[in-house]
Amino acid sequence: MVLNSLFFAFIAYGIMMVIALFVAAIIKTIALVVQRGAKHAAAGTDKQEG
Amino acid sequence: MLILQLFQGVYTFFLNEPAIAGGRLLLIALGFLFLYLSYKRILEPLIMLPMGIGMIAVNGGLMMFEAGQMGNLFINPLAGNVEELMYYLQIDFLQPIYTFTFSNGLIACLVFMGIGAITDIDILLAKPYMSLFLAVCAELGTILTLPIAMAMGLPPNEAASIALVGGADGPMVLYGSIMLARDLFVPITVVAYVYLGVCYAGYPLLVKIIPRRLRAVEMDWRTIPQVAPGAKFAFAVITCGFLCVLFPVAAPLFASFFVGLAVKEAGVLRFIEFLSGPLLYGATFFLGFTLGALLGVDIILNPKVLILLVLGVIALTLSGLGGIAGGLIYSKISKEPFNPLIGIAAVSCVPTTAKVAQKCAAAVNKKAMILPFAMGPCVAGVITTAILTGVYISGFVGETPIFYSIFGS
Repeated sequence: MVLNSLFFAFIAYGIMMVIALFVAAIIKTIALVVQRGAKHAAAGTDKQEG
Repeated sequence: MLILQLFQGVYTFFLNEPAIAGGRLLLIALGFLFLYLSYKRILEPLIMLPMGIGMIAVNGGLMMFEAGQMGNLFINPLAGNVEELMYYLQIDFLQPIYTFTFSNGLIACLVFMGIGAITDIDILLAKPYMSLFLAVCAELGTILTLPIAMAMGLPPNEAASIALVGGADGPMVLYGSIMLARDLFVPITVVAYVYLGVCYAGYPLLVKIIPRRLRAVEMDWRTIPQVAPGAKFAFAVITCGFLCVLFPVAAPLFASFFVGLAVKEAGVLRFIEFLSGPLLYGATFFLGFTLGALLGVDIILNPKVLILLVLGVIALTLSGLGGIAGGLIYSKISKEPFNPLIGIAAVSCVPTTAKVAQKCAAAVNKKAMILPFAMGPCVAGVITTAILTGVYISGFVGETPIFYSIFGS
């Protein structure tokens, strides 16, 4: 039972790592989208001014 | 003896068995100690002060009821059926708080809403890989305490519950232990809160294993990139949805934390004031006071409490060591100067461990300003602990606990 719990603990650790990686990916994606949005907005303003 | 019956708190000492009377005296003394330590700011007064008063009052205020039964006018956590519960709701003054906010984990969720509303996620969003890497390392105690607790004779659900102390997050431990081991949630939560208070004194000793020159590394906080408010709001909403889909059993915790965060990032001032003020401090006050009132003598006479005390130390020490190891690894791989003390901040006792990291850095180099960087791993630690809480609850309780499905019972 103790050995099983050790295996389970490592499985839990693996799951947590994968989800943490997904959370980091979500953050990076949001940053990218926000950055692109800002660029588009800036380009739109430039066109209007031109 | 007749005159003593007028003072029932004293009278019941004579009616108790010596072990119970001794236990009551011990808990009253412990209550005074908590009060002294919180007055001196050695322990966290927000929790320990009301808890100390609750302990003294409930163990001193034992009285006689009808049919020679002894009890108090605070709480009866054992009230089972509806009739009994209705009776105690009208008699015991803290019973409504316990019944309506403790037994369903609401009190932990209320604290989490407040924490969400005061949490700064700029560094987490600016440096997500660093923050989450350190947070994952600092969960070492939460992971390894599970098999250690089972080796010490605890059943899987109780072992998982005490292992969550390694996450160093009080409301999370409370919520997790209510879900995993309801019978032991009071001692486990008290152990967690006491040790979290002690962390402030204990972790500075632990971090001395990091070489002094590395503890003195300066980091330039002006290099931290700016994060758009929209990105922070989007993060709160998307991550909440993502984690709730993965772990419905811990969804109340995720929803509470991220609703606080979303309110903060949306700049809804009225809600921010409410969540970060009256709600957070009101819930924290009643959390401490009710926990103290639940600390009756039957708690310390439970032989498992000694095991829980040992396991609590093991969990927090291992998590601290994991965080330090993560900090050292990251300082090796980082291209910019990195102070490995930030690793200890990943043990997610927001914001205590971040403050500990800053205090230890300033002790060796007054110019070392690492607090802004330390907040990232600190917040990331809340997320990783919540994930593990979800995994453990799914693993050990419910209709089809995953642990038993994999390994059999």
